[in-house]
Amino acid sequence: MSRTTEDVNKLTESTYKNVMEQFNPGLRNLVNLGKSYEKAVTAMTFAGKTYFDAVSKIGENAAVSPVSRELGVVLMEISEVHKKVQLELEETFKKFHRELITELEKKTDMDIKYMNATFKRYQSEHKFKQDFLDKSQADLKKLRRKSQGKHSSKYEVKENECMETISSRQTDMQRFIAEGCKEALLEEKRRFCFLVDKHCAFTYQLTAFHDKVTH
Amino acid sequence: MNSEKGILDQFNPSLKNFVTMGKHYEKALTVAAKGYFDALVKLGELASDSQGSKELGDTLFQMAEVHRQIQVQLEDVLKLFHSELLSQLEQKLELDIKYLTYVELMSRRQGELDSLVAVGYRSALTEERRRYCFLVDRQCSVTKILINYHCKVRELLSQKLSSWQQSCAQPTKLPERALNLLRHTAPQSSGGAGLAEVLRNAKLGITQPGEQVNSTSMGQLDRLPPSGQMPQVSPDSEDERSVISQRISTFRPRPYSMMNPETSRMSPRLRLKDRMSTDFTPPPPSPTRINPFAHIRLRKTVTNDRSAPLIQ
Repeated sequence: MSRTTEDVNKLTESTYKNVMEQFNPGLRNLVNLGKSYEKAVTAMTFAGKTYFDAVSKIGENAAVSPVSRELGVVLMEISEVHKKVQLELEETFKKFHRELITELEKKTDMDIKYMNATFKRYQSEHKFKQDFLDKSQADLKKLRRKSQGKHSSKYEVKENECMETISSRQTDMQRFIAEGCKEALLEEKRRFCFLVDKHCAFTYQLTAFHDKVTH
Repeated sequence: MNSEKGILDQFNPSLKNFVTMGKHYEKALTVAAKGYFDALVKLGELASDSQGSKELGDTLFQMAEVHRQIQVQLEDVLKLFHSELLSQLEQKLELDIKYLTYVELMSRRQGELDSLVAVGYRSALTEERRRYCFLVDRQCSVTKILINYHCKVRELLSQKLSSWQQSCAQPTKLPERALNLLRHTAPQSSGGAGLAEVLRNAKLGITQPGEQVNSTSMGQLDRLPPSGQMPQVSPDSEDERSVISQRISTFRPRPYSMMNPETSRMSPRLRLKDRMSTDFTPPPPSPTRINPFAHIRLRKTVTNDRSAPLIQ
């Protein structure tokens, strides 16, 4: 195999390994941290709601007073609106959980088996083709040894056939390597795209939340 | 006379509690957010080091940076919340404890001297009103701060969103650099069959004599699973690839087809709003055969060339 094909084969293998040993565990880690992030936000919104409940209570008391009544009403309104904001934030993070964290978790779990199987299949096919190619080269060597010193068109024909076989198997191998590498790179890219896509969706939802709040 | 005392008094215990809780929650949120986005940066580094996914690495870095800026904004909000509301309330509370006792005394004396209970009563109500006004005013200040914050955050997020969406819009297309590398590796296909014919035959399950149609680890082209994986194409032809990918889109189930148990449950409003989602793959015969990342279905406009014939 030429140097380039060997490099490409190595690239394919390292791509698969990267996905299995770095990307997926990284995703797992992200999921756990995402859960902590959610918890912190939930605690925050709870604190916010508690605070505005207190504001509302004060408003209720003010509403009873003859002089400060409308201020009491205002305080209760302020409280209602801010609690709605807290609720919206909570809903946004519920979506974060459902559409990002849970999805990542699911995919990661499924991917371990899949990537393993895919990688193994590549490796075994590679080995098969390599052995196939090696055999045809060994055949050529054997033929040349046999035909040493003998000049016969029979050997020439056989030798040509052998070389054609080698050539076609080499071409096949190169194509396999190229396609295998492309596949591996695409698998990797798919996964990054998925990650980015999910975060785009979350960004969109956050934007909608902030937009809603200001209007 | 309890009225003017009551208002800030009631507020006091929950206020103190809130201040303590607030600081704790703020710290927890900052730490948690940072942890999450640091992990995202790590994944961005992985992508940057790859051959096929470099721009996605950039996108991930940018996302982390924007969220860091948002956290900074949030921290500012919380600081302002503290300085504009909480500490001012606390201050008034402390002063008030002394002052109201005095006022109460004065009002009583006033009442005794003039026997005008009304005057005493009025001053009490005035004091009460003052305090409510102050509280409302402080809440308004907070509301303004929050509006400002939400506007800023919305700005920060929407600036970058469309470029981020673009970066992940073509999960099945490799960058030129990677394709060049592959072109160097594979020679022009020998034999008479053109690329299109090879693929067509592959889809119909016909193999040319002596030719291995799809020799990669993804499984045979002629048994494409319903999840619609991309068939193997030689890196040679750009045009062919775009044709193929159009045809491939017909393999992917329609974004909101009834086949998908998840989306059939979604409300129409959600469907319009929810521009990005992924499919569930149908239960596979063997778990290892189905690619969990096969459908990266992005915005509806990207895929779905309905004009192409449906090739089974």
